Amino acid sequence: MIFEKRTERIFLAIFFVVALCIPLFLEENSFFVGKVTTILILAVFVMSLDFLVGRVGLVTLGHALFYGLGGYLFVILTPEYEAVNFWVYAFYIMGLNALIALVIGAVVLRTSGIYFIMITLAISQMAYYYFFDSLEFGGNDGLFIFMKPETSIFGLSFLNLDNPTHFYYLALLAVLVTLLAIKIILRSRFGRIVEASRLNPERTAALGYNIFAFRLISYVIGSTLAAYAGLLFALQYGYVNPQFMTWEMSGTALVMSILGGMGTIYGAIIGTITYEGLQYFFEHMSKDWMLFMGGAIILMVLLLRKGLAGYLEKLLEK
Amino acid sequence: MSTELFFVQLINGLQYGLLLFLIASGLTLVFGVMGILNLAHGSMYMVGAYLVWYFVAITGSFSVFAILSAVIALGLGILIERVLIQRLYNRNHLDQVLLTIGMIFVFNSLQSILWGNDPYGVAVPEALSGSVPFTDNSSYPVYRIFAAMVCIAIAAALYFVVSKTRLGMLIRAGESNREMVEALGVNIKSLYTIVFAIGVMLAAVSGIIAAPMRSIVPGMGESVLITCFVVVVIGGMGSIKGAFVGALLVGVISTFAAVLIPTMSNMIIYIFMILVLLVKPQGLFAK
Amino acid sequence: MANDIILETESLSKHWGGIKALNDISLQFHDRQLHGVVGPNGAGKSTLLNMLCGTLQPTSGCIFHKGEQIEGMKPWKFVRRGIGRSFQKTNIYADVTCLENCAVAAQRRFAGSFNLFASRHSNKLVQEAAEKALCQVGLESRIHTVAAEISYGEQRQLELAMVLATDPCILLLDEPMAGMGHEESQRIIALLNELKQTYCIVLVEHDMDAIFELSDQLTVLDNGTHLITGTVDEVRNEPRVKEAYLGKEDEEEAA
Repeated sequence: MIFEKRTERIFLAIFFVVALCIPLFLEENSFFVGKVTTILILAVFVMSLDFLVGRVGLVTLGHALFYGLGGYLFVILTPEYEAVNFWVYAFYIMGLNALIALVIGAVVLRTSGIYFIMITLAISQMAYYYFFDSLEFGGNDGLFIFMKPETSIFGLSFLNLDNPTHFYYLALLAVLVTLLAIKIILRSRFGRIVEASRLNPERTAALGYNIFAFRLISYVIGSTLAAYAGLLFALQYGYVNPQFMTWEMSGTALVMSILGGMGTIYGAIIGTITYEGLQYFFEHMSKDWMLFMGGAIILMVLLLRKGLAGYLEKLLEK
Repeated sequence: MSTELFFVQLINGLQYGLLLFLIASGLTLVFGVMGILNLAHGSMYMVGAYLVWYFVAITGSFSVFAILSAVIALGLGILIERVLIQRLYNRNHLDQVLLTIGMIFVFNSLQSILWGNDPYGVAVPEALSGSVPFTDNSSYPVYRIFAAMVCIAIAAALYFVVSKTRLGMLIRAGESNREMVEALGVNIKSLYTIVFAIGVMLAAVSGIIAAPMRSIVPGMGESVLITCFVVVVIGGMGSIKGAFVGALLVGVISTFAAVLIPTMSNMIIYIFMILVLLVKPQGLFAK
Repeated sequence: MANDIILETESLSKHWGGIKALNDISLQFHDRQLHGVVGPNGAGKSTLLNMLCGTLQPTSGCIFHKGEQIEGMKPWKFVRRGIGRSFQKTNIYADVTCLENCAVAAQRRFAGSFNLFASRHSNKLVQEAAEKALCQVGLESRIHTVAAEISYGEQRQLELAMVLATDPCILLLDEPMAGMGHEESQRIIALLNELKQTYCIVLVEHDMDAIFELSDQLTVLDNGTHLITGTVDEVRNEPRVKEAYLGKEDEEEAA
């Protein structure tokens, strides 16, 4: 019921089976495992954006702000040379981020359309420059994370975040949880009104719904998921810097989402894998990989009207 | 701050603003008439700068090749519109975003292939080098004054075309009512091609003019693009008059901010934009 | 009139700068009655409806619902009070089924729109209310059809069903029969005759036959002013009304 489309079910089944097996067969190649881990983390980020842009109808160019905050909040809140508990601090960070998103959302959601795009961009740019120009946050170099957190729950610890394979499964779990959370929310009573607000805001308001409230809650959810992704990314590589929150980062996520098929959510996974895969492939082929990347993007826009997921659905749905 | 410094910065700010207007006017024109948000607009600015650098580097002559570069950019604009942009008219805004981002990639990569990644400079042309004495101990570069004049001239020409010519009438009509323009017997496709090509040319010409005043580096297109967006939003999407006022405001504010509050100077135009939007949510001269 | 006054305006006015869209309108709408509102183009009918449902704020004057002053409140508060409005230009959710259209309308009556977990299909009451509304307007056969795929006339019916699904007490209907053929209009007229037994209906329409057949009370507006309110016969025989309409016809003929 949550996954209504056949294409969706087929893709996700294949995806999770393959993803589960990758570290088992490629344990020696920790570089590759690490690369796929990053793709998984990015997929979480892109899914959260796809939710906001494709389903709630909030086109934001400032989503990377929260991605960066995930990392920065970790460095700010935790002591430098002590291994804190991952679950506790992830909870704190997401909570704090939700509050920040609530405040920002309450302001920016008073605008719409192109002005919403610009104001979200402006706020993320301001945050970018703030961290870029700051001394206590390491400026453009950012800050290092020296101690990865430990992951015990009630004294039992079975994940060692220094182990690439363990980290990989944490990221995969994040993909699963994010996917399920978004899908459940979209199917819920809340989701019904959120979609209605996107399809016809005037009508939905005329029916007595407080659209602002629905959008604000969605904005907080989407932003907090992005922060979790940012936290994982920072932990994986052991640093955070302002590049996490550039408009290029937001733009790239948007590209991945549109490429995969805006609004499908599972398309975000497809888009992330495709984009990162193409980049990897072109980078190794030629130093002018951007030319091929740009060409591939242009071709895909012209030929695949509804993104990759849309194309697959055309093939598989009767 | 001394009066002297104030005036110098004011003129700097206005001159920077005029340059911004040149770029922004192309962006807002294309959006207003065609509804297309061209994210590769900054790349056109870059193309103009690199082209003129290239020609100057091999021939040493600025003026002739400045004009040649502009013509090439015009042709490029027509080509891009015919081949790519035309296919976007019935698609949604996000597809436009995606396609034009793809174009940014292609242009950046072509720039790297054709001209390399080293920073370049274009020497100020002989006739325009030197400074005009301003007060007893300071002077102002002639070239900057020249650049400002060219921007003003182009702004005036733009104003003339849009308000007094048939093309301008079609542009203004096309902005609000596409069907009406078609009913007038005008080929809307050709109109769009012309408008887009003009937009590209405006961006490229500003790149050409800016070339002797900036270093020519990879990524110069993107940094100008964002500032351009801020200008257009402040002025009101689609309004050329708004772009003019917005550009001057942004130019002056960021110039003064760089001198008075250097640590916050990067942020200042965004704060300004948010303030404007709080008071006038559609920009200063919204349609 | 024996029926209670359920909605009332007092000296209601709307100015846009120098233009007076509505001037000093005082009207009374009774429960279980159909109150027609007519007038030449530009008379201010849509402006009146917009103010009665809260999407437009009056420049001056008051609106009373069951004796309470409600002008100036947010639109969703009007809806909560049971003031439902249909649009002149069809305003439905085109890409989903008729059932889903009405379900969105009905869901607000039953708590839980902020429920992030429970499936939207789990509340049977919402589904029943939506189906009931669709049956009331005669769209039983289209319950599971996507709204974009039904005919224009059926879409107008859906528009009406959505308002009914909100369980209103007052229906503000803006030209529900616009663009409909004769047979379809007859269906709507029969439906409205039935509905006015239960609801207070304010009907703005250009279809004069329908207005004369349905209206218990009829108000004529002209150029933002209130010309007359009375029974259909009283209004038809009022010379000022003929002047307002005929005057316009002369203008149009001269043009």
